[in-house]
Amino acid sequence: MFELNFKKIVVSALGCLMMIKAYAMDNGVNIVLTQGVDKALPIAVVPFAGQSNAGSNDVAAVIRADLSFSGQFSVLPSARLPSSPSIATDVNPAVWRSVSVDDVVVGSVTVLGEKVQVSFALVDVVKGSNSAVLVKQSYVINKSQLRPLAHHIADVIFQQLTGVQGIFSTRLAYVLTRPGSYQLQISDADGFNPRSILISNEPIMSPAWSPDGKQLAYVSFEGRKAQIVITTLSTGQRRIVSAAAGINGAPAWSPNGQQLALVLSKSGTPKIYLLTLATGTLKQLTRGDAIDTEPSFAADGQSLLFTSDRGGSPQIYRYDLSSAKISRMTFNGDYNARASFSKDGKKIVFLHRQNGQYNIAVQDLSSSNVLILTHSGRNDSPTLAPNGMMVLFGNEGGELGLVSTDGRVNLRVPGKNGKVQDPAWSPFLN
Amino acid sequence: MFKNYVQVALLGSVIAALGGCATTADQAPVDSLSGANADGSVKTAGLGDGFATKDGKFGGADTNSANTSKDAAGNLSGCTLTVGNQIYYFDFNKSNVRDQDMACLKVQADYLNAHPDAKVLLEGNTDPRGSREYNVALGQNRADAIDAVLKQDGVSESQLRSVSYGAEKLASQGQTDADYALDRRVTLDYVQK
Repeated sequence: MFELNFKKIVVSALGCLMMIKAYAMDNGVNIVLTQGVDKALPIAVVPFAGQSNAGSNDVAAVIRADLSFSGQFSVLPSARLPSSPSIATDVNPAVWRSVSVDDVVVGSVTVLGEKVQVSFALVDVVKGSNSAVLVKQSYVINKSQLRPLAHHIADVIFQQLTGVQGIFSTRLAYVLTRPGSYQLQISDADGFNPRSILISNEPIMSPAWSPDGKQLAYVSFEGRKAQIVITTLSTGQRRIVSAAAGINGAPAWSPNGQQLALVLSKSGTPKIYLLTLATGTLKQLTRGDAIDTEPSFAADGQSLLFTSDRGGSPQIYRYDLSSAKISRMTFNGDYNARASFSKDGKKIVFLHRQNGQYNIAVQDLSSSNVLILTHSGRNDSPTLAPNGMMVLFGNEGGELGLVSTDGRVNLRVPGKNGKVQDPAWSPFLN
Repeated sequence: MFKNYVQVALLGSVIAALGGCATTADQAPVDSLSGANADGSVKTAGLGDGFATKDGKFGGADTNSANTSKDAAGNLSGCTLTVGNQIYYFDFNKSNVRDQDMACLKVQADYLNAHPDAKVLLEGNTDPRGSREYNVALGQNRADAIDAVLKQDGVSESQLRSVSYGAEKLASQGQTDADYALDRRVTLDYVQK
């Protein structure tokens, strides 16, 4: 994908990938990170040459912010940078070791007529006097792509140093509310570049990304009725896929993108249904008098989680699509809701209430251990990053929060011009 | 990766289309910021009919809490024994109609029975605590509980419609128990009298 849009004029990692991996493991730092972050990795990002007044297009600043918000890195403050090299060969390891960083990112931006050339290198300064250049790349792009490219470089660095795919080029969908106004917005993963795809004076809820990231399903109450709408993001084209009497809610895509699990109340109490998008065929999955809602597919598409109060209080259940068998998943806490599987299916992330406090929790399915990730007591709507390392969620005050799934990193993401709620993290968009 | 970036950049075009509202569905202006439409290959569309409707088909004024008072026991009461827009309050995590609201509902049912063209919209709501879609379910059960009382009193199904906003339309922005009590409600709104 990348090649189609960027001319890579240099793609040279010094040493083959295997060797770099082996080195990273010998190093003794990176391997700890991939296991769950005992210690953030110290890194410096030097301002790129040719970008003294770049404002929001400051490539180094974007990389620095991305790596910081991942929680996996401790980024050296700009004021403490001991020198300002822009190419790998000018990085003196001793100088950087003196400020206790393990890796240094350097680069430059050069204007080429209408376009710009961006070069960067990731240098390991731990390996004695001979600095190891882990990655070195150069791109020619339109000026307008500086920021997305910076996110891409942050992804490259993240992958190189943690072994996990970065999420800096993904996007967020969420609902921005002001009194009497609701906007469905999409922003970059860092909250930058928000764009409204729907503005309404009635509520908008439950955005859900299609697995290919090209469509967004959501609930819109325009006309004071609930409808499930799918918007194709490239064109803005809208399609109403469900408008039954009562609830049309909680859309969830099947992993192959062909079906939508959703909630309808047309038969009485809210129940889970499966809609095949190509044919419009609707199949009722759950029955009975209890509330069943918030379906969410496993990555293999063979089962889905849902919230039900069939046992008296809301708890998480699993519905097996081939056998129609339902099994209860949560037993701790008197209110568990809005669950989703981790990609490997070994954990579930959900809203958990204990002692009247609503927090985000993760449950290991083999041990049934529950780890409570947040502590404000007023949280909702957890959504997992596509690499599984972070959970974004809402809180009652109208801000989003971000926590690592190991509970170690916790950030707040305040809304700039209103309350932000009901977030949905996009899949990887490559 | 960047292919998608360009596509999402086109959202800018959709926003631009909003300015002209829903009338020029296929002629959204090209987004001058991203320049991504330069090759002309992308057709932008407006966001269709019914977008940002003020009142919708079933429109009418929003019901407010002007009639809300407290009884001697401290229970909220938002209904009246006259024909008109009403609020019915609910207990925490409950969707049963309170006894004190039954007389108000009877007044509305009698009117609806005497005026077959009259229609009401029942809007269910919850307080903000808990999961959003679970709250939609809870709000729907509350609206359905009011609906069931009216039907029991003989009101025709064609005169009733319900919707649940869950916790998306709070009556109060506060976070005290008193605020939450105001949030847990069904509004009965005459959309046609």
